[in-house]
Amino acid sequence: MKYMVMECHPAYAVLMDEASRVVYAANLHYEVGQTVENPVLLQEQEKAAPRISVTMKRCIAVAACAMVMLGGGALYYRGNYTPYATVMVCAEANVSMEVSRSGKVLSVQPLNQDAAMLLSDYECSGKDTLTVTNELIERAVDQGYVQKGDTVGVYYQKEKSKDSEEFQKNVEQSIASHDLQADVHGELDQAPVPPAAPAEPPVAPAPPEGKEEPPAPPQPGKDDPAPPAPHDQKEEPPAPAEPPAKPEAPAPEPGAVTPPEPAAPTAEPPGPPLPPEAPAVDDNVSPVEPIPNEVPPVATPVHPLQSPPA
Amino acid sequence: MKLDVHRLLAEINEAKKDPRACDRLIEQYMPFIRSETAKFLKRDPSPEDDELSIAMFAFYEAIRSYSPIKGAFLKFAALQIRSRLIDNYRKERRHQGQVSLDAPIGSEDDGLTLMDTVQDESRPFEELGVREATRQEIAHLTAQMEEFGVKLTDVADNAPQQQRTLAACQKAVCYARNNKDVLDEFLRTKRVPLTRLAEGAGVEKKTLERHRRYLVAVLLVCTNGYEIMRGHIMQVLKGGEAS
Repeated sequence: MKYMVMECHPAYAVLMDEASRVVYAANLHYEVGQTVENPVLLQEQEKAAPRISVTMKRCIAVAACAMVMLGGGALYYRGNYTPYATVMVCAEANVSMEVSRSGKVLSVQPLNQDAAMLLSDYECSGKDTLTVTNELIERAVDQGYVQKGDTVGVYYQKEKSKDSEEFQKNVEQSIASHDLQADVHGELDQAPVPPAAPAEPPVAPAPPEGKEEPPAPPQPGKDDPAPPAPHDQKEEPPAPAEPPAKPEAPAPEPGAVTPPEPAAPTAEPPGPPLPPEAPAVDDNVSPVEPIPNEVPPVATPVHPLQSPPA
Repeated sequence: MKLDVHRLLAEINEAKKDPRACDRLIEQYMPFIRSETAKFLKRDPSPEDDELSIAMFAFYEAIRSYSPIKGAFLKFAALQIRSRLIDNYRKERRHQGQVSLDAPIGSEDDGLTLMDTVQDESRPFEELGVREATRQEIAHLTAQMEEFGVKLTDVADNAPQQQRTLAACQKAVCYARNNKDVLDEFLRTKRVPLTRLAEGAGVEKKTLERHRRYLVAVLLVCTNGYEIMRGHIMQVLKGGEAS
């Protein structure tokens, strides 16, 4: 390509090529009108993408910082101030706690009147779930809602999470340290609705003693290992007369407690041989059914020949 | 110090707009340009050295492309000069295996060089005549362009760079050359008939508008009186594509 020198300056020259392009080139001692080849052409600076101004850079930096702070704040808020799980402590006074991801207690709600009393003047904000659970159990013990040997139920909503397993272990340990029995479950839905019941079982051992009280009905069986003859049957009736012993049950013990525990005695009896004709039901059911209790007083006069009950 | 910096920035901004101011600035900083060239050559450059010319051209490029976000001007210019000189050195190195025409032949006492044995096909006297005629044409063209308010440096700045744009402009020039009334109108009104050119050549009017000053120069070459220049750009005037 040939170039015609159109104009000369100390540092550069204006050239026109054969395609009528007009270009700048280094003035290598050219003269106007001269035709040259292979000139040193101006390297046109590639038009760079519009540069970002300093102000814009600052704005972008501020916006990025704001985004990071907002994101961090949102994560922090989610971890510390958003309910993540629910823990229910059932110790006569039933309490429900909302717990954050980080394990902090967000709020505590009483589920019954006793719980409202238990929570009066209690501040739980910012405390760990385990700490609050321990403190609530301590308060329940102090205020007499639970006693040694009672069972305390704790239900954690997030069953499958690792932290719940750890929490359950810790809770069991801490409850055991109060000489209480722990009933820790993972799923809240599985929590029994009447949580007051668990406090009663410790009283259950009474039945073995009661076993001797109702001995009256079995006694005849025991005394007469062989089933008595039919004529003996007539002498049997005094058995129902025994119920007078029943009144003992309500008297000394916290008798109100035992009635709900009927199942224990039923399972307990070793199964003494019962006379077939004898009302087998009497042994087991008599304590429960009130009817025999009422009937005997009436029946006693029916058997005057029998020795009067002691 | 700050005043110097501000003054230099003002001079650079002025040099970007005015070729004379640019020449003055280059003249003012010739010691700096020499110094940078000397650093590269490791000797004082003589005015005949191509390296000095290239360094001056690099300084001119630096003036054109400088903006304050690129840092201090002199550092930027020094980098530009050095890069250009390195490029030129690499380009010249390709020809290192060639024999110089000034190489002596026979014994050095004879004083004969290779150039003395080669037949000179050029005709210097004819060339000088053509060059003089060309110079006159260019001077005339430059004067006529002044009437249109256009300088050659403006044309260089305004010339199309992309091949497609250049082809569109050449199409318009061909149309004008084939329609004498268009050229007459152009000379009479001293305005480029962009609408007619765009409609007649079938190109975008906006494309022609962007390169109006370039069209002024080429359309003037197409009118009578610029035989040598027309011969130089014959390819375009024939309507061929630019290579």
